[in-house]
Amino acid sequence: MSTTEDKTRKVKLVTSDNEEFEVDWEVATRSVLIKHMLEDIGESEEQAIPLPNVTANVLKKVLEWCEHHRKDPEPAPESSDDNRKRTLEIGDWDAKFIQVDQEMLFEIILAANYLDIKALLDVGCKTVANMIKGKQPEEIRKMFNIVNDFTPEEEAQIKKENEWAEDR
Amino acid sequence: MRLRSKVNSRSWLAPQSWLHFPLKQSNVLNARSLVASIVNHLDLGIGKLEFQTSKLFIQGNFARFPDEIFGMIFEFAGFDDLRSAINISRVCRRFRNIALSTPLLWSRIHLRGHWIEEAKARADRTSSSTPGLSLVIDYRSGHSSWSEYSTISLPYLASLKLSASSLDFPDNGPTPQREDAWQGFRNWNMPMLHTLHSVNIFPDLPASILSRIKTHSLEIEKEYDDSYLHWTLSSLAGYLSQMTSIEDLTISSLNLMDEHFPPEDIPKLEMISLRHLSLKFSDYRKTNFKHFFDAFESSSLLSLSINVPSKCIPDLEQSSRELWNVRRFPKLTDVDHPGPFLG
Repeated sequence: MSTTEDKTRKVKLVTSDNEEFEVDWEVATRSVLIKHMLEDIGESEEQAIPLPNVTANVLKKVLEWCEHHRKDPEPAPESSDDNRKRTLEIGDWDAKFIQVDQEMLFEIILAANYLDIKALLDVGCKTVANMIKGKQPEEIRKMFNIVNDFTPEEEAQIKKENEWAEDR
Repeated sequence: MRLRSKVNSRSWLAPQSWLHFPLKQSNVLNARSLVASIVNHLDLGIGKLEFQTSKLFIQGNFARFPDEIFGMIFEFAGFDDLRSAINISRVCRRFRNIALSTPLLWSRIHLRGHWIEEAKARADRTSSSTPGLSLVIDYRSGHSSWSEYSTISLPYLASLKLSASSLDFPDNGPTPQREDAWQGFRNWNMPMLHTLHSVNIFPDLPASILSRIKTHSLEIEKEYDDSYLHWTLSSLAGYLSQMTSIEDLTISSLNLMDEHFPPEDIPKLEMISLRHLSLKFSDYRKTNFKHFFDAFESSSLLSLSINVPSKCIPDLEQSSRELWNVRRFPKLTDVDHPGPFLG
């Protein structure tokens, strides 16, 4: 539970490439990781939070998302995870926000996972899911530049395994 | 590198070089096409570089990406989409391992005829952590090939759909009669089943299973051949009376022809646990409409949704006070129907 004092508080974040960001407490604590770290260090305002797994250009983008969603309600508990899977829809603002090159998209997903920002992680994963949904295995391989490492025998076996669903 | 030397070879294009040329219209036109060609080369070069770096990046990230994130992506892409789930599992070994250990991808199974064992093997991928396995069965391949599957155990099955739709029968060959239809699922072990969806059939499940059903959806298709469900108000009420825990009931589309309402047949059905009732009528006859509602009572009903053909709306408005009143449905607060709620 945040207090009025918390909401006016500033938080310093330091990225892996040593850039410092000063942001509102409400924005920074969209990240569960940062929230827990702030709880651990207590009232010490001067202490910067190191984020060794995030570079400045990615954090800038992540903070843009956190700023926009600063007033959003707390994320639902884990038990409602199942409902999150049922839709691939992304809100208008988020859809525009995530229109980035693939490199940034993957970096945002990794950062959201590291910083524990579930809603942003969902936006990233849904975007990649939309890219692979309905695609043939070969198309997915091309997309991720993946080598088909099945032997011809294995491929034949897998194809046979799935014959029951082929004419669905 | 090649691109760079190409640019250098045209260094005469630098602004100061122009001073040494007499300014003729033909030179300007030539220069314009040369600039356009250089821009084109640059664009191609940039595109190639972007592709190469992106390729390198993606290759790097593929290894960097944890399995759990791929698992989440696969859940979004393959939830309720078996085709996508299967395609993902055929990409490479790593994707296959991740996909096979993601139960949600395999939680909706459509069973048909002789593929039942294979489908059941996929169903086994849904371990105890699954939110619920959903199974769809139709009689497309006739009832004869089902007979050996009368003792299946589906411990995680949460949702079952049984369809006897006429569209599912083969075009040639005999259509199984209702009384002959395969009922082997009667003996299946389905301890977690709580949602039952049936199309043109009152599934003959044991009372121990029906009494645990929380959500039931019954679809009755238009009566144009033998696959149509021959129901009466009495048989419908009798079937529903076995669902003593039902909370959510949807029926579509009810036909109010007299054949479904024999004169002596006005049963009384008290559904004490029912909270949400949704009904769709394909036609309207005032007397039978009233008979239908006279048969039901529910002290816990919170919401009622009625869908009727538009021609009957004025009549329905007059009937609403009488049909869904406080005495019959004391907790009803949410009514969605064409007329006013006069509770």
